[in-house]
Amino acid sequence: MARNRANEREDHLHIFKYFISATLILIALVGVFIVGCSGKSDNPDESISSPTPSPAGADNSPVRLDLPLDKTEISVDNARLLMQASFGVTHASLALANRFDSPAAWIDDQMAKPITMHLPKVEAYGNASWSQPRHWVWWETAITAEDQLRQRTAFALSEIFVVSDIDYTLSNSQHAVVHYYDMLASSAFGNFRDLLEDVTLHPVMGIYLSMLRNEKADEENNVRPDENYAREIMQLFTIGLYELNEGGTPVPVGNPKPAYTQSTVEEYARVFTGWDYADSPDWRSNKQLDKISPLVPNENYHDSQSKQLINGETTPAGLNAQEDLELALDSLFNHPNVGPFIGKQLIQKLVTSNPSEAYVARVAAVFNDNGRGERGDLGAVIKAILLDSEARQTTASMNAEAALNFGKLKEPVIKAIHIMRALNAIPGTNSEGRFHLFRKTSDAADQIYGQSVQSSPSVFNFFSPTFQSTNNAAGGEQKPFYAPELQILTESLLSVASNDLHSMLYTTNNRSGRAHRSAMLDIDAPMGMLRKGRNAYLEHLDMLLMAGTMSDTMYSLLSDFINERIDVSLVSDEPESVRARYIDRELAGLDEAALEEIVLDSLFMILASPDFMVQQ
Amino acid sequence: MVYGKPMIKSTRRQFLKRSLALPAAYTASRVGGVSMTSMALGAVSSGAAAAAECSGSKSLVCLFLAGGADSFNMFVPIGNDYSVYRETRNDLAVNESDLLEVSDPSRGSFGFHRLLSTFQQMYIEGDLSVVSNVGPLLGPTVQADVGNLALLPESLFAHNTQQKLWQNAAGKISGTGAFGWGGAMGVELAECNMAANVPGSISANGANTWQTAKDGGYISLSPNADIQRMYGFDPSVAGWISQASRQATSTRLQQMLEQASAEGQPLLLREAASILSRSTVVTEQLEETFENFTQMDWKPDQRNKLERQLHLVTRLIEARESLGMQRQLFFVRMGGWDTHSDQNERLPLLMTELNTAVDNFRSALTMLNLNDSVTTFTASDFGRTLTSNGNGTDHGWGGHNFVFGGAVNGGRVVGDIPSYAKTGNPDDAVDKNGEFAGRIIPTQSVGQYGATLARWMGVPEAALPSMFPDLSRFQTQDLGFMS
Repeated sequence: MARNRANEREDHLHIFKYFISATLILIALVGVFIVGCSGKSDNPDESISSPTPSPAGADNSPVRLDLPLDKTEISVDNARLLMQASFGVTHASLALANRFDSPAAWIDDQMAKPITMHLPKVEAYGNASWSQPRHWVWWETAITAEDQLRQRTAFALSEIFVVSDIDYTLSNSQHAVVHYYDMLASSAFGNFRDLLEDVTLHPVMGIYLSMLRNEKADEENNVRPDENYAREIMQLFTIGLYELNEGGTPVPVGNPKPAYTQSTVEEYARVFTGWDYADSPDWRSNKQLDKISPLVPNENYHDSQSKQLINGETTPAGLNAQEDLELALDSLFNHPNVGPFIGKQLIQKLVTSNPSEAYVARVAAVFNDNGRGERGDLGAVIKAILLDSEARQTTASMNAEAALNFGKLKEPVIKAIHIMRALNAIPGTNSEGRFHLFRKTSDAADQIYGQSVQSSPSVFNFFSPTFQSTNNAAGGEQKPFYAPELQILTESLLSVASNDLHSMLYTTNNRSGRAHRSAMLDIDAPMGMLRKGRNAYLEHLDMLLMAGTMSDTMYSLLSDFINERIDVSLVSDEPESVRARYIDRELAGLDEAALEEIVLDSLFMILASPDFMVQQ
Repeated sequence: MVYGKPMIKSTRRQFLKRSLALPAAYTASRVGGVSMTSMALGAVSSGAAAAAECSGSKSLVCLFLAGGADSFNMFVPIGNDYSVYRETRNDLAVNESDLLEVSDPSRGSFGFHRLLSTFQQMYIEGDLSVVSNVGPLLGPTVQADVGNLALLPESLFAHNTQQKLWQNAAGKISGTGAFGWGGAMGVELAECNMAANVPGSISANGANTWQTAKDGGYISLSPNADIQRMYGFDPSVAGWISQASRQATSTRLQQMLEQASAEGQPLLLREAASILSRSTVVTEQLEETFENFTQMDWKPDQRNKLERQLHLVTRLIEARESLGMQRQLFFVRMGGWDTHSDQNERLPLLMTELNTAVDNFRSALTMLNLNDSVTTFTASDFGRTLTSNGNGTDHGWGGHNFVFGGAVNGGRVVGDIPSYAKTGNPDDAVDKNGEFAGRIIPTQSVGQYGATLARWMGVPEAALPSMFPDLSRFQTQDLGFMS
């Protein structure tokens, strides 16, 4: 069935491509005509060059940013894909995505893009104990980088393999924290087993979960190995607390069986002993120590006795630290929980908070085998998540119950970046080229949004994948309804974030003429669209801001709002089509100030709406 | 310190007027949390006949030490038991010279860590009791029970699960384990807050299980954020925009909220509409109320996150009567207690921060003459292992906790102090080989601890068994630390 759908889609795509080509030619001609006649256009940036070449044979002509986005089935699908797989739709990114043959082709193109590394930019600021540059570079990257899918995935991974500079040692090792982030980005489409080892041996993780310099038991002094990393690698990074079915549900339902016990933790704590900084002269040295190179073993502190692993195997006595580590990581990596446990969390971060068991199972199956016999291929997993029918279907085509449950609340910082990307934000004139918020600089985003990259309160991230709303928690394990991001949406932060956006939009937009630190949202483009007519404008905003998922009721509220701004008494007795044409003509003729007011109010209504908080 | 005299406008009538004028988005829908009306009126009563005791205003503060505080190093035995403690804890033991001595009439001498001087002071003044070795239990538990998972609360020793066990007192994580005993208290006490437009259960540190009830029941305020009316939603603010524009925007946004809340809308959209609706009402109400109180002369240290939370809590306690609240429940949280490494460096920093925040909180309450009607209790994921892992400790089970305020029957140690011995320790939850693990089995349960506090707040006796399922299995159902 999936195959048929794919074929059908192909046919649509072909027809659509012809249509696009024809339309583009027509539009180009008309555009020349209009420009020729009026001698000026609404928008100085009416076309840009596509920043990267599209796939071979495809359209390489510049993207036209003066034309509103149309709501077609393909374009809606691509806009939804961009919401799931990037930091949000831009006019240009959607127009470019529409030139690909399929979402898969877009994903392949994204995965092949060069990695935007954060560390060189952060290092350029100097001092490693200065925490702010790390955030400035992260915001700039999220807003502007070309390798959007990789950066989006890296952010998701940073909320699973959590480290936080709240830790007092890491707060002075910002460059190492960034190196860890770049490592996640580099590994985003690699193999999970490699990622697991890279994470385990990164000094930043070593410091954060105290595996660094963990030593074998010293019975005389009543000292036992540190259980911290052993516990969290199981609970959070690989298998979770309970045995799972392939759909990611703890089993038996209602009374799930623990995936491991306290004694498993103690056994793995003994595995993770004997690791030190790469440049450490001796085990207790406090000299300037390398927090970037992988940890190295010091066998004097490694517990080389045999250990009982989770798969029932026992490590032979006498193995060295590296050998023990390999066996232990293999045992976790090969546990049947990993596919559903990690797969479900990635689905929740990108697509929907409550995936069906079948969706999780399909993704887990790809984790287990990418089709070429490889287990743990994260690139294949990401692709499977995004191309799955459950991700690509719109709610309109789902059954009623699935439609009610589908989607996710946007993470607050991602919502903010959606807005900046969609409205082509540029750094404020007083920001030294950085993207800041209105009331706070972006390094203090947590004071507005309740989260800041790699600064969560603990290894449990800002929010839990199993957080349930109080309203729906009563479902219990039989029918849990998850709303992870709701955990950080508090009443006071929501109001502060909404007010910050309001100030940014109304008072420091690109037409405000104010020198300010806040990023500047570009409202020229939407004003140009509004001059083209009410429906063209609203459809454009629907695509740009809501990936074509705007409800009919919201659309008509906005439409009525615009109508009220136009005096229609002359045509009040005419049919709707006549009135609409009249309104469009009046809009085209409005003075700038009146047009700006309509644009600001209607943009704010969309961006502040409950609908905009949800990704469908 | 000088505190301004409250200037209270006649806000009560405005509350009522506003509550009548609430749009359907607030009143019609219960999805996505609770409607403002039912939160305010406490319409979510369990239907129990027993009435809550509402007389006098009271506030209860849960001070959660997230990560698992090593309370065995915060309150330490002095005398014979000290050497046993010292031998087991080894390099991590607090020096005797670093202890501030107090005594219990029947249990002998103890010392607070010298960095907890305010705790010692409160103990001496009779305003603080130490509740010994508390933790989640299904009933009285002994060493022989430890191997049998059926006799133990679900998923012990993991941070998030044991936090939940502390906050739900349910002994389990799944199903109804999602609801906290603070939330259940809020339901029982709702009738004491009939005049309030905002729930009397407020978190100063985000989502938590403790305050969670079936109908939501609490709001979260951030000390980082000023309480501000919402531009666009509230037409009376953002005056630089034309009146017509503000009015039209506000009207449409309210309509969007209503439509998004409607039956049949996607569940997450209804969640979004619900929290957004609450935000508009709560911020308007609180901004208006706070305008009537001059700022206290207490400028919290911006780096001390706990102090900032307690400052916000103090403002809300100060305003409780004008908010129409006879009973308030607060949740504050301080992180960083998971001292697996460098404990001897980290723990002093944490205790200093804790002590400073508590000291300023207590001073402010005393100045406002509110100390007798505010009780604060500590809670934490778990106590930590008595054993060292080299330079830190691991996840334990039972731990000491502190209850303070003018209404506390203070100056006492409540419950038996566990053995600190590393051999033949009857209180140890031994490892799989039956050897000393240093994880101490609690001797008093979260249910006993919570029920003692709930009675003080006025929760009817009949409501306690369902709130604290383990309670009936203990002979002592009130630990006696509240007067």
